[in-house]
Amino acid sequence: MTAQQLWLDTLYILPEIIVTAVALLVFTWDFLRPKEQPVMLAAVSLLGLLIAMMFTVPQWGQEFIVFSKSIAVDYFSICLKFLTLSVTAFVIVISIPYFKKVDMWRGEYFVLLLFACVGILLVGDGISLVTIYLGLELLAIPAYVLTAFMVHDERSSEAAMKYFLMGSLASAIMVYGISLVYGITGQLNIYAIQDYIVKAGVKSDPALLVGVILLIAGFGFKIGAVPFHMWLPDVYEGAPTPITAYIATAAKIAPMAAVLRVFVVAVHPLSGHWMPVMAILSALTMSLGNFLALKQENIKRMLAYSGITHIGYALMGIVAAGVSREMGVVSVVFYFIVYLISNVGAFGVIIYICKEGGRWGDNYNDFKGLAKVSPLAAMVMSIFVMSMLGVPPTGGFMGKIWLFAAAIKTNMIWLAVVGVINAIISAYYYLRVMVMMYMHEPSPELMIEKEGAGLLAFMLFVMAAITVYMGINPGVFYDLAYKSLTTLL
Amino acid sequence: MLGSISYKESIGFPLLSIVVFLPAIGALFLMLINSKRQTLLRCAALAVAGVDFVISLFLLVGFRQNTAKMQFVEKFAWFKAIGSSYHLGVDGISLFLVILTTLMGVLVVLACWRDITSQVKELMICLLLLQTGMLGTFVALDLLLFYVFWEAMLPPMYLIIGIWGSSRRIYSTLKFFIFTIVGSFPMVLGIMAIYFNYHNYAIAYNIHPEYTFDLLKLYQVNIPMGIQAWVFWTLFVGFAVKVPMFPIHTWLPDAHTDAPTVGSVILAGILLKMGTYGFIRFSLPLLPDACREYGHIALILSAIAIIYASWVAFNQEDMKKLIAYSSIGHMGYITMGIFVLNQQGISGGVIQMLNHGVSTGALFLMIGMIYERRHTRLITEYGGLFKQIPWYTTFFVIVMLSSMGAPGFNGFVGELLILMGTFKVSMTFGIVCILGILGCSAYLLWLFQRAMLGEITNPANHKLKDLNFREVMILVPLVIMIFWVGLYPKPFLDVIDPSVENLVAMMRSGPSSAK
Repeated sequence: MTAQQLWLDTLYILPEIIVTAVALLVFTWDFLRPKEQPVMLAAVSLLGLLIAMMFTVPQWGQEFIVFSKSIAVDYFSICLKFLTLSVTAFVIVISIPYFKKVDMWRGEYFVLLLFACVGILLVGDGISLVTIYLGLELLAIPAYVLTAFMVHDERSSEAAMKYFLMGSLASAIMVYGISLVYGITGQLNIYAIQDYIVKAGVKSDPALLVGVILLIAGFGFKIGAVPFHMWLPDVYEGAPTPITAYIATAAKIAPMAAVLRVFVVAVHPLSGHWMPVMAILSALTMSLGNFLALKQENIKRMLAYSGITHIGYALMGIVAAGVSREMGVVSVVFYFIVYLISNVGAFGVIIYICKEGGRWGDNYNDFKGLAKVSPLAAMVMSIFVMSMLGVPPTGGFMGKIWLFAAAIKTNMIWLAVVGVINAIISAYYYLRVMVMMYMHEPSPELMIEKEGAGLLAFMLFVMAAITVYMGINPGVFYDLAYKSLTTLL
Repeated sequence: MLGSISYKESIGFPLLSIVVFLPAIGALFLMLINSKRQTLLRCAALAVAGVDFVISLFLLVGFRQNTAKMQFVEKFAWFKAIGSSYHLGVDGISLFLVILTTLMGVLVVLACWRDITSQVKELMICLLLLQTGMLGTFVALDLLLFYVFWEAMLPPMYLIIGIWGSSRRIYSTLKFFIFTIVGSFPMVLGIMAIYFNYHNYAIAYNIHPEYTFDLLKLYQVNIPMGIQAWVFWTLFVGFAVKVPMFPIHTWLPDAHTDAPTVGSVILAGILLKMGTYGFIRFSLPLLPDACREYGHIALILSAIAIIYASWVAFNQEDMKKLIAYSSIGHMGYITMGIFVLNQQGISGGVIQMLNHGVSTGALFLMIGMIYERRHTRLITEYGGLFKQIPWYTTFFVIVMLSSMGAPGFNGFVGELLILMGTFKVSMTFGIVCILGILGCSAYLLWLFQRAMLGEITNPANHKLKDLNFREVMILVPLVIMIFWVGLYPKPFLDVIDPSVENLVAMMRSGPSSAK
């Protein structure tokens, strides 16, 4: 590769470069003027994300493979870029009122958040196993630090420790898997691996299969699939709420994208082998997440466990992709968009009602009577919850119905039945949120501090509107998912 | 093949969309009104519901009799990528259900005028959203769209019972919601199986291979018995929970007992009909073989419901619970009529759906009226009401006779048709039906005797006031309906019969040869 080619290629990853540059800028600024108002830093970060998004727009509709076939700019990655950038922006918005309430400001916060964002963007772009791994690590390390951000709270530190240990283990397993796949196929590019497996006829090479199993385990850790989910609830509960939102949503984009790239493309010829494993993983993930969510009193923990369930649903689509790549991928991408929006929105509402100290709003009881104090907040939360449950007219319904359809289409009827049973069970804990909000008298402590939360309220409203719009006119998002599929394959 | 008449030919403007979405749009506007201005909120909701009712009457004007085609059909691309369209239409089966829904929409707003004073804004919004959901369910001709409407009315109803209900409201409303989705989530699997089957069939028979949720297209293809067998049960459970059929009826008495009057009226008047409507619209024509194969199970469950509900109703102390159980029994006749799978039975079922909506709705309204005055529903608290509130008692007698199915009242017409249909199929089930009717008359008369006749034993009843103008206005339209259907049912049957005939033909001879 010539130097000139390298410069040209760089143009295609401008969004990543911009976000990195902004991160460094914020870092320097914070270093030089430590007393600077954090709102300024947040504003600069937001602006940077916006510019990155603007530079993503002209890439739409094009397809490039650059950096010696390790980075692809296509519908799939652009779709993920938009999602990642907007979710990161939303998390920055919800961080402002939150840290005002807990009275703890540090400029590094935004730096870490932006670096994590670059990591996710890289995974979205990566079509080489090494790029994917690099991106995942670039995401993970800031995420460990961010989890420990509330230095005075033991739970925060404990969660970070757990996250770090588990995450490193997962990375190690993943690298081992990657090295085995590389060892057998001699390729790192996912398309090359796919071709090699088909042509060389190594479909039942034991070392390759072990590699695939290790990859499943490694990615399983990262997305929090059962039985690799143990770190998740503690991290969700311990981390500061905006970071919980980040780990629950944006940080899930990366491993999910990696799973799609690796399993739907690279090792797809081995689908006969990994499908049953993935199906069992999916069924376990759905069911266990659900049962544990039933007993929670802490809403953040509930969202953590229910998030596990949602990952289980999404895995159902991956299983279906083993047979019908079209239906499988489209359903996963669509569902994931919905999941991101409703989940990050729900965390936004938690922050909206949280008070000094930052722990208020974590429990079901804190939501008592919210409908009487702030009807709009209750309505928005209901929309998110109904979407997660899968009740129309919300996006969650359209996402779920298509996942079940994918499972039926590929003759995995038992998996669809497990999915439906879990959807029914999940009604209990989602409805409890509504019971608390609408059917109880408000407790005297419930006060909404509207000051400084105007932007947050507006964003929440937009999120709720999108959630409903996805249920009423799903075609737009479906087309998006379909387009990203066409370039993925 | 079932044809359709576009809204352009019928009336010239998209009437059904207006009828369906007017309440939802009204609800959006209601959100802008200050929640302290309760009277304004009530008036606005009443205006929206009233206009909706008046507009829906145009359906009667433009409706063509003597045809089984879908009318006022609107079809636009909606979720094109997966073959779902925005497809609405009415035929003789759904026409009166739509009118009944819009009528009830007006009556319930009136009924809670004084009754509910807290969170009026939320209540009105819930009622209007619920109305859009119900209307959409009755007119949707696209499986996905139908399901969207079907589920979309769950949250408003859930809130109505849970917020404005009585003591055990949270338990009851959770039970209602969970029972309903236990039925309806698996329906998704059945719907998807039907959807994929169309595509496979189209490939096999060289029709344009496409994926579609369009009901009229799905009617045209056969579903192999292997698929029908399990799809039937997914749909059956989904619809049966709503009806509710024995043994999944247990949510209903709880929901009724704890629901506010408006909740009970909508529940009994409209929501329960959606289950039986679903049987007629989806199960019968899409899965005829499975219906013939497993219809007898539905008949047995209906028979049990009829007998069991009468038996339990006898032992109720609470008037509302008594009516709730009687409602289960009455819905048992309707499912019986549907699953005997002949012209008389289904016609009777359809008209009985209308009748049950009117008379049970009226009974719940009247119980609500007396509850508003005395705050108790125990039968023993009353007695001799006729002396104190004669107008109330008079209306009660009319509604009660209609519910019993006395000749000259609307219930008689439906029950007679159902009996004719049932006796054609089986003597045993016919006898069960007759026993049920007898039982029903007995417990209603006994209720009447204990509550209304004799001397006033409870001094608290001396202060009761008779119906006021608003309450009379609520009941008059229902009483008109009762006598109209009872004395001159021909206009109703003329509308219903062609559609039912076509349905029976479609079932008998396979989808392609029906007209």
